Amino acid sequence: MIDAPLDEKRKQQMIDALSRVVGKKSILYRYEDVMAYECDGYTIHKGLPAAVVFPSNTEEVAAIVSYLHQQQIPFIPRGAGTGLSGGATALNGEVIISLVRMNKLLHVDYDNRRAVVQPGYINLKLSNSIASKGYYYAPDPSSQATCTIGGNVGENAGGAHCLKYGVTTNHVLGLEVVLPNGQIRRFGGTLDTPGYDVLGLLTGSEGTLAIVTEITVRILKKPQEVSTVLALFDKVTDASQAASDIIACGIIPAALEMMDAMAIHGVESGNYPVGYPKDLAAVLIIEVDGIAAGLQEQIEEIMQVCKNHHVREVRKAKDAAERARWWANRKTAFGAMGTISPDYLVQDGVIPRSKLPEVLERIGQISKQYGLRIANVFHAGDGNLHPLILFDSRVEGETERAVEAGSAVLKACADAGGSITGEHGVGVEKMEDMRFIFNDIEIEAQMQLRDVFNPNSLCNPHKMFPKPARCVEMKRLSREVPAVNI
Amino acid sequence: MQYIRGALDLEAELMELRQAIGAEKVSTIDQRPWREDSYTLHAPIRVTPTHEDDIVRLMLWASKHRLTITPQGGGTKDAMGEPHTPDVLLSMQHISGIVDYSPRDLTITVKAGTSIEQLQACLAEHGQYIPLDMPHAASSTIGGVFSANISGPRRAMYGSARDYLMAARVIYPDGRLLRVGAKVVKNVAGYDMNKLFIGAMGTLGVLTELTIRTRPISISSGMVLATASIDQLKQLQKLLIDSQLEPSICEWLYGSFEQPIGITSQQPTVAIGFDDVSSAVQYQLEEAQRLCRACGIAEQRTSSDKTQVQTLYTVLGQLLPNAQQLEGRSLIVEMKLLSSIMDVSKVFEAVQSLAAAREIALQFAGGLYTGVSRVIFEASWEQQTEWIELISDVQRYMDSIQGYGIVECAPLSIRQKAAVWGQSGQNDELMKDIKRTIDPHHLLNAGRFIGGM
Repeated sequence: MIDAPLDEKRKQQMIDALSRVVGKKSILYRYEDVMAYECDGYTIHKGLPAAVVFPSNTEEVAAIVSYLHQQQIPFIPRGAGTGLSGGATALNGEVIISLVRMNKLLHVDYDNRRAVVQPGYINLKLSNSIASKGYYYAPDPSSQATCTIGGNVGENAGGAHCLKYGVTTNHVLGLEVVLPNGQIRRFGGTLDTPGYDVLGLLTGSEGTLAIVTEITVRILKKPQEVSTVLALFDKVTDASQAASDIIACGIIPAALEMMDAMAIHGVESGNYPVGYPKDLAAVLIIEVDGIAAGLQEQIEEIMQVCKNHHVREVRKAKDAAERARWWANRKTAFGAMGTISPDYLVQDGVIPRSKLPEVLERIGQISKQYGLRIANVFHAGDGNLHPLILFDSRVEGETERAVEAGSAVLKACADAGGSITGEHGVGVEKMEDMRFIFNDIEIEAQMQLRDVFNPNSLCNPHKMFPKPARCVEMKRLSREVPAVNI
Repeated sequence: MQYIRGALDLEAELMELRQAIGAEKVSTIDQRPWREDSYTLHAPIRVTPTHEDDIVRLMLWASKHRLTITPQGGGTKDAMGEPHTPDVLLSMQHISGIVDYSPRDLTITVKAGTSIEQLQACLAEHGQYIPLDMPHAASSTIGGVFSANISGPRRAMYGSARDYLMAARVIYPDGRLLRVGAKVVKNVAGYDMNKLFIGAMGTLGVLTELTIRTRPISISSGMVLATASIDQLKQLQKLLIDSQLEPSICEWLYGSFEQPIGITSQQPTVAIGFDDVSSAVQYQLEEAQRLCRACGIAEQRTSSDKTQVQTLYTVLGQLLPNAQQLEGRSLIVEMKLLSSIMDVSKVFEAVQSLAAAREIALQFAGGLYTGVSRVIFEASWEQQTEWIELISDVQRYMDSIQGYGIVECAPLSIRQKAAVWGQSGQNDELMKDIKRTIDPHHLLNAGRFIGGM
């Protein structure tokens, strides 16, 4: 593999070859053009790709990949670039294969509750396109208005409503992919297709095993009724206890979200303020859906749990408009932080729900220790935290401190028996943090699997795994392979 | 058929193993002939470890001597997969017990050999359960259920094994012990390795511990059983799929069932079950009845008695045969048929006519919300030659509708001749590469899985 930027001559040859596949207008390579692709939603690491190429169908993807494979030039698949862990960032001048022009809804099969989309098709567009027939697509990452379903598959994206309905992997029924050697393959189609669950392995592989070119997803009938409750708390511990108790008493809400005081301060300064009282410590948004006749019973129980935990105020959304306002406020939380801090770094640790109070307390200590404000906005029902570390990159050393604080938060999640990422992926950002939850043997086992699909690591190299892990393997190999005298 | 190697040929190796893990955990049976009508697995050496470390040592020993191992839970799936002749049967039954249960987190960690009965009993104390239909609860083990990817009628609402496994401990054939996944409900750190071991029939590693999501047992349940013609059922399925009802089961049933569950006639019956709070169950039962009437289905029985509904779930969940209980009976073959949801009716018609032509009796349960159907054929042993034809005809039909037909249970004589996993596919090579990477010497369940893996 060529692991350094291409020289000018080879770069020109490559551009000519790829232009013959996609046409001159579907490839960018000038500095000013590729600048826009220097990072994704994770902006701390940046790097310029050698080129960005825009295929419009599977055959073009296969032709591009075949050429790059033959030339041993590394490449990266990219959707809308909304990823939050740097998975689509070119670290060594790789070629970015952008799938945004493969953006069609190919087929909707209502009778079989499934839809076939191209990877560049936008998540929310699917739900909008099938809404008139009463259907929707369940995984709803906060970026759903711009992120692509191909990207969602790459990251195994979640969202606020995956507490009840599951994440992307629970909704992917079939995939067409281009393997890193250019071969086109299909997986899935029916449930339980014979053989290993490659479909499940590919979902969430962050573009390191294959490039997804077509996705068959499950679509669901919209629930008969949705009911949303807002609960305002004076203490964070009360809110987190209530969140934990709601699940423990046997209710599985469609969504159970929480924001703490700093997050509330952020969202209230943003574009969709709800009008939360200024002195609030925490807010819970609890949504239940399903058969209308059964919802009132659940709502009453949820309200009772909140009351048991000294809620200041708890009320049901009076109509769809009010519910939409609450959600707009919540779903734009990350962006809203821009109004109270020049920069922010979002983390994505997961903990067992019952550990919420203690881990939130630990995050408070980390905030003090690093001298940085941390806003917590997260999927409380899943135990999926999103601490937003607020910093100012213009202040020397503050970016590094934010990254360190982020790592400390992930360590706290791992120590509580959790994971370092629930839906944002490892990417570039959390490669080293993988060590918090996996040992060398476990990391190596995953890299061996990568090698089955992507033997030279041409497809999205240097992502997901901490660097020295391979050294262990190399050392072992060198012990096994007899030394050659030169 | 004889064992390739008998225990007598392996005395020196066995001595080493006995020293490594304790003589009481190793037993041998020499030169037991294989019977063609057998549904159960045999091997000259049987190892019953009591600790994970024993399995690591066993693996290192087997790797060194290139001996093949087949892990076994309760043995209920012994008759699944290509015929194979392992040197060692690794019984997981003493790797058993609850490791950690956190009812508030809706998660439980158990050792792989824990019986389903023990597991569900432990969960029930906290009003929870695992909503996978796991038959033969007294002998089936949780490791076996996930390795064989067992599912039943409740899949319509609750999904299958892949939706429940959060983390596991796995021992690779070279003795490496790995933790995969994370013990939290949401996790995308690294590859989703959990998925690899579900339904892999123990060909990649030995699962020793599993962390699984649990669910609260619903407050109320109810069901509608409606007897109907095929055309009526097709119409009903369309109406149901397009409705906002949330059935926990929706199965198309045909054949005679051992326990009385209200299905008496030889006509197909649709069973629609609901789990929810009682007001929602009641509403849905009425809606389901209304939809039945709209399709001209007059004969309906409704029950909101929780015990009765549970009985139905159990009976339908028990459809999958238990390999340990089939010997000495008539010839039984069970196939898992995978299709799109709307093709379930076609699948039923096809298998019914293929079986009728050969005067073979059948029992059928088709998931109207999942496209996963099970057919159980039963006939006398004299009809054996027709069986192979029947299986390949069913598989050919499934192939023609872009589906699959897998033989999940059949006696050795049938599995020796039939294509148990169906036709080989475009992805077999890739799967073999996965197998080679993890098990280069083909020590685990050698030859049992798809493509002779």
